[in-house]
Amino acid sequence: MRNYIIKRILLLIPIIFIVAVIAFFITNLMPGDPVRVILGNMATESEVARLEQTLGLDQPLIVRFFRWLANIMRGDFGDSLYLNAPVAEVLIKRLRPTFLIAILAEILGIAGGMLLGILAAVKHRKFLDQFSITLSLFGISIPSFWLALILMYLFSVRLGWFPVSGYEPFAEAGFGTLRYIILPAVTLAFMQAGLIARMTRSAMLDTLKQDYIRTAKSKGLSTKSIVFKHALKNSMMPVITVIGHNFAVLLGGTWIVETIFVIPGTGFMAVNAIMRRDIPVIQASIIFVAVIYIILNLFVDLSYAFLNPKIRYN
Amino acid sequence: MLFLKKYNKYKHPYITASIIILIFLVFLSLFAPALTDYSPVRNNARNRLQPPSREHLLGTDQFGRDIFTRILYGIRTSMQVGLAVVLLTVIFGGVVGVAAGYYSQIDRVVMRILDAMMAFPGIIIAISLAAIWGAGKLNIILALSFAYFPKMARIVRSSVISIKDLDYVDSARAAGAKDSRIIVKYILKNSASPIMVQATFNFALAILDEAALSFLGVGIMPPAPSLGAMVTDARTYMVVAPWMILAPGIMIVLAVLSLNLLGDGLRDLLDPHLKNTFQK
Repeated sequence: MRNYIIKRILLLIPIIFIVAVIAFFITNLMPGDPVRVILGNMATESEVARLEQTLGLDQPLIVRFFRWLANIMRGDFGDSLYLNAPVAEVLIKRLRPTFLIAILAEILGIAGGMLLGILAAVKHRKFLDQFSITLSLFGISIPSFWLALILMYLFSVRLGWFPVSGYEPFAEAGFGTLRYIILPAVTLAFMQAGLIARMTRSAMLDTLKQDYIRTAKSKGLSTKSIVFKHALKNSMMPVITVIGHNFAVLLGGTWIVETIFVIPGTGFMAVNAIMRRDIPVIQASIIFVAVIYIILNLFVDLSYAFLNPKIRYN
Repeated sequence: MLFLKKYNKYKHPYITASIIILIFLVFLSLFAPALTDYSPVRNNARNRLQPPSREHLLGTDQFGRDIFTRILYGIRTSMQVGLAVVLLTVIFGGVVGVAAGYYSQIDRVVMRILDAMMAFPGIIIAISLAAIWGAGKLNIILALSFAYFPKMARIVRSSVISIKDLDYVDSARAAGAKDSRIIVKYILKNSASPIMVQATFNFALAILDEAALSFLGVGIMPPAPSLGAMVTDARTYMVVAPWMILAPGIMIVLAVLSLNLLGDGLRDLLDPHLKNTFQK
């Protein structure tokens, strides 16, 4: 197992390197010279040249890439062009609302999705099955930005249960923070629940066909104990995979819901940075999402190997 | 076609239903100019923010444009973008997937690159690329294709790998068939099912993501009609003109839902082994 873990971690090095390459080159091909954006139209040529030199933008692209790579290895993503602060610092400050939304959405999505999926599998081809298939299909087909606005209109504008937008940190509002993040989280949970329900249902149906389930049934066990004690555990692997794969999609979703609900998280920051061509912030935001995806999927793979020894020796 | 051979419109009601909805949407987008008297882009200041009425079935927006008309042209944009993205994704993904699957010398390198690309959620790559290249239809088509093709390439690759060492391919090779002939005639033809299923899901995803990009202001630029951009307008006037928000969203859901339904149906129909793969 230890060798397997080490091997898997070493395999991450080339992937993270390529992630860095993509993040760097995507952002450096942006039109719109950041130097001119900062200085405005009135800047003279010599001012432009001076700032280019201080930012290191006069060097060839490849030199800049390796210099930048060396810096981010030390956790230095440079300074934001607008916020006048180191990007890493800004990012860390804004992590909390994003993670609160993402984790709440994931919990709601897993709970709702697994419940729907299990019900559908147990009541295969009955009304509940059709109902949950339909609901989960809606879950993956409704655009999150639209759902967010519908929820906002119903629950904030009409009913006034939640603030329309904005955010107060936990330190100031205590549990009042929840009022700001419930609607964004529910929006994102809807899609996750759809994906998880579909996967749970099909994994569960596969498991319920196995011989040992028939044995359990003929032993006289109740449906409840067959489903929860025997089948569920063995249906979890594909479900865990979907959750791992889609957590990054969830983080991508925070870019949209944070923008709609004006929540000062990493997603709102990223979208603003894109509008303003704030390159260091964009780079850090993209890498942040990718690295979380990579780490999460490392854990998914390791849990596979942990549960199934065959994978370890392959 | 395997699809037509296996398809029976009574036995597969979901496929039938989704095909009917899709034909209806294609009809709307093809004949949009004939179905309405209004222009999707011309302003009419006197008619601003009118609620639904007999003249304007779904009301008007903040520039007095007929929302029903904007929707017809909006679904047209969605369909164009979706179709173009699917074509490009199949071409890019097909070429890269076949290359990686068939020529094992380059497989490792290509797979590492694809793995890294898949660490970015599609919408994030697309937002960043659309911001780099600038908004506009062509640019978001390219951005979305770039975001989706790694998944397609992986699917093609695994399909190629599972086929290329089968006996009938070996015997074609022994009979002296060239690589190009083997790839096109024996391998691609038999990987059509997973490609078709993934292409259908990509179509749905492209419509969703085009709308999201336009909503954020990095997709289709106003005044060109886009369902996503219509939701942006609706957001601004949510309190005074709530009718603006429902129609574009329902249209997106209709298109995406029927494509997802079709994808599910095709997957069950063509390849029962695929039932555990899902769109990302």
